[in-house]
Amino acid sequence: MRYLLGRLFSILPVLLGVSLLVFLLVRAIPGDPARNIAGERASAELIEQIRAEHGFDRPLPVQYLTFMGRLSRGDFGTSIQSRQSVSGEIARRFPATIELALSAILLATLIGVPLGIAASLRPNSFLDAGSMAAALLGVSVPVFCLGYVLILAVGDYLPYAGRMDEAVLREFAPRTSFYVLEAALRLNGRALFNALSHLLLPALALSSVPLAVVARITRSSMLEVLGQDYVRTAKAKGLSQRAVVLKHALRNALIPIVTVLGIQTGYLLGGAVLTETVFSWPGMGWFVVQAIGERDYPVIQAGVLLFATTFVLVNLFVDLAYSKLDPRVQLGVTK
Amino acid sequence: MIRTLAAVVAVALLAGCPGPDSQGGGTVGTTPGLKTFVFGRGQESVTLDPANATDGESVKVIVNVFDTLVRYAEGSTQVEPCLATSWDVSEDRLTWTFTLREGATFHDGTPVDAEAVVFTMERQRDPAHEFHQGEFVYWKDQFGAVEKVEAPDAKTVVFRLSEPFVPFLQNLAMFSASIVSPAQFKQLKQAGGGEEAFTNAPVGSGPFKFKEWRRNEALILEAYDDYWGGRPKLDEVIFRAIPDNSSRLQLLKKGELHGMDGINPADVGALEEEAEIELHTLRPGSNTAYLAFNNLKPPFDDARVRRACALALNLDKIASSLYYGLAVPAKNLLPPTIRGHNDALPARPQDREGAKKLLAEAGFPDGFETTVWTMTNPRPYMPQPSKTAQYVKNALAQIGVKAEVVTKEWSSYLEEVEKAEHDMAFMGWSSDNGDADNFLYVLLSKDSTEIGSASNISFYRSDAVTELLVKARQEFDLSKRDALYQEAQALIYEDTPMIPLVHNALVIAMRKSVKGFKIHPLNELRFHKVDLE
Repeated sequence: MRYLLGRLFSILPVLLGVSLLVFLLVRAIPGDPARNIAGERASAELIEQIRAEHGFDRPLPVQYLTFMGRLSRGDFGTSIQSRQSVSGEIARRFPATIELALSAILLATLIGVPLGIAASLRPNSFLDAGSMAAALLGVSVPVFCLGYVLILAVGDYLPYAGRMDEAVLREFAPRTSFYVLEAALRLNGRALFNALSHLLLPALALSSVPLAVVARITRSSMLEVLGQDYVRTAKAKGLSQRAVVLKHALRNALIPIVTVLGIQTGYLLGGAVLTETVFSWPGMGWFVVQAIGERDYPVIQAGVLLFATTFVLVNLFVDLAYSKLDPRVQLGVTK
Repeated sequence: MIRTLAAVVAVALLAGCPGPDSQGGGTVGTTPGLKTFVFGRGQESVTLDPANATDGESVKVIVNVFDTLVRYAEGSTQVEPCLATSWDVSEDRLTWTFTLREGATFHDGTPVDAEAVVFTMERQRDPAHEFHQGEFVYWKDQFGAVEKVEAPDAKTVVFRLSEPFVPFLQNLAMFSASIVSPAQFKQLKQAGGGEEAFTNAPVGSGPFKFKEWRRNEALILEAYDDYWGGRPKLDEVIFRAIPDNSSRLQLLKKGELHGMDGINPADVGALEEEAEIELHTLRPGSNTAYLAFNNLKPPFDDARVRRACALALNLDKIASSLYYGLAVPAKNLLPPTIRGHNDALPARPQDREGAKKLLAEAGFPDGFETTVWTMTNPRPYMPQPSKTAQYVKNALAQIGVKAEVVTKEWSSYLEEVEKAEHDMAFMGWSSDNGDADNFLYVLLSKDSTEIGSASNISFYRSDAVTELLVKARQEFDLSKRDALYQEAQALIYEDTPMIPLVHNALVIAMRKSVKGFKIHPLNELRFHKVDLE
């Protein structure tokens, strides 16, 4: 518990650093939001007026302190473009990203881990070479390319835009933006299946990279463990293959796998720009990239801060998972 | 656990497969019994407050929710009565009086009366107005001459102008002059809404009323039963943002969308063959892509050099290969769709020998080194900015001019060309109001060349041309006005401050089941008369 509090506390300086960095970075991108609003027909006064209205004419330290002051009250400010509260916009979009990212990670785990295990059990076999070649392909093929292939291949049978059919959505009338979770909790089968069917293709496309990485890590980690003496002992005492692999080997091979899964989850929660674009998925990636194009400073700042926080928290979670997986790992104890 | 999850995924997969009945005719995503029209576009709208909209995606929705005093007639840029049934302008051209239509109501039930018009206009004009919140970019740009708007009685509105201004009536048909419901503004304020409240609950008097908006997912309008022009045939219109051009096209083919814009020019040819899809094309559209010379910088301060560069280009080739044949080569900055276009001017065929001779006369027998600027992102008037720049570079090399291509991101690009930092730069314009003034005065008068905020990025400062353009703004006799524009265009042609390149086509794709849609030269997408079979 003390360890946890310490870790949580140590996140603060990291986030403070990130906030300063992103604050300065967005202002270092060439171009300015006022000009983006006014477009081809900007007059000098108009640009000045917009800059003044949003406080961009004030000294940077003042702007930063204002931003941090608001932030400490949980206020991310308002979008320069849409004039909507950034917190509200994020509350609608982040759940979409979470559902997509977690589904992709789930697919990657469900397919990648068994694939890696199978490959490790028969190293250099046809199965091994085949699955590792597929994994290499998964890492290398750009997601938008895979996205199109999926759309062209099965797009006639599966939805590939948005999160739910409009008719189903109306009937369902969700109160949160977690469509899948809410549909499951409300035991609304029609909404759940509709939401899941919309999730499938984008999640599949998005899972290609983590799936490949997980499969490769599982294979190498398992190969290492399977060569250990205690595995030979386990085999020698007559345990079934299943027990040896799943109980003795896999559990010990899990730490690198969990590490990789954690990192991948962190990445994906940062919004999958290309996947969200190809599949019109209304999540954070699409939102923040659009904001970068429009130099919508408050949105970019809030988005990046959110990504950083998520990343740090996921990592913390992974560290906590280590001690559960391997009792020898004692958190907070320095030897 | 794993097995259960696999089962769930499998079932979801099956459930996601639409049966044959939900496939045909594009009924996906609609409520049974309702005629729902789904339109796909590349981006989300920014705002539904007409006075503060500046992006095309917002305008697409606004023209369906709101009415203006006058509007552009179907398929043309001529104005016709809308909320105003008649109007009159005083002898000195400074007072415009409009008579309002009987029986028009806002979606909240309140009548469209003179007070509402005054509210709409004064809110934009008067910085002290209770609801003057926002930038009002278009008001400043196009209604600067308005001094005061008054309502002598419930059905009469009077605009007082500081100077005679011919495009005034054309401008009143623009989306930014859409009449808004004052009652809604007041009610939202009472309920504690901020300046953003109206954009989330806009109330106008147009054929469709606002229903719901989930940004980046769906923006939903429904038919307004009491519309003065008759209830629309559609029950609902849904605008969906589908950022990727190819995915959007697939959705149209699949039938999940009934219509879309933002088609890759390269896909247009193949779409013409599609049995279920109808392309609505307007070629040329009311837009022009041009290459501006910086007339302030040598050697482009010499008209001979500018003419020489113009002679180096083959505009037919640009139109056919870089625009996939969708564009028409330009002779003038003003597109042929707009009144005042000077069609008598000869096209300028490619003539490399003539170009070299002009360069030698100007003192550059061996050419010179320069830069040609281009933007990173496609624009409606220029689908392939970097390839177009590459073409210009190669064409200029043939006459000895070595141009280096400089590519910049859009907002920096605008900022720097407005500061006159370029040598040559691509730019373009799409008509706002169908009036010649909106092209020629904005893009070529001396008055628009202020460094840092210039819209005349050629920095062409001809007194003779500016005088003609200013006169034309105040000439109410339209044939005399045409003559002024013809003369100005002839002078511009001779001086060649810029090279008008092409006028790009407008292309909208609809499924064949969509009836009654007509493409508009100003690219207004009105769905009042659209029906689904």
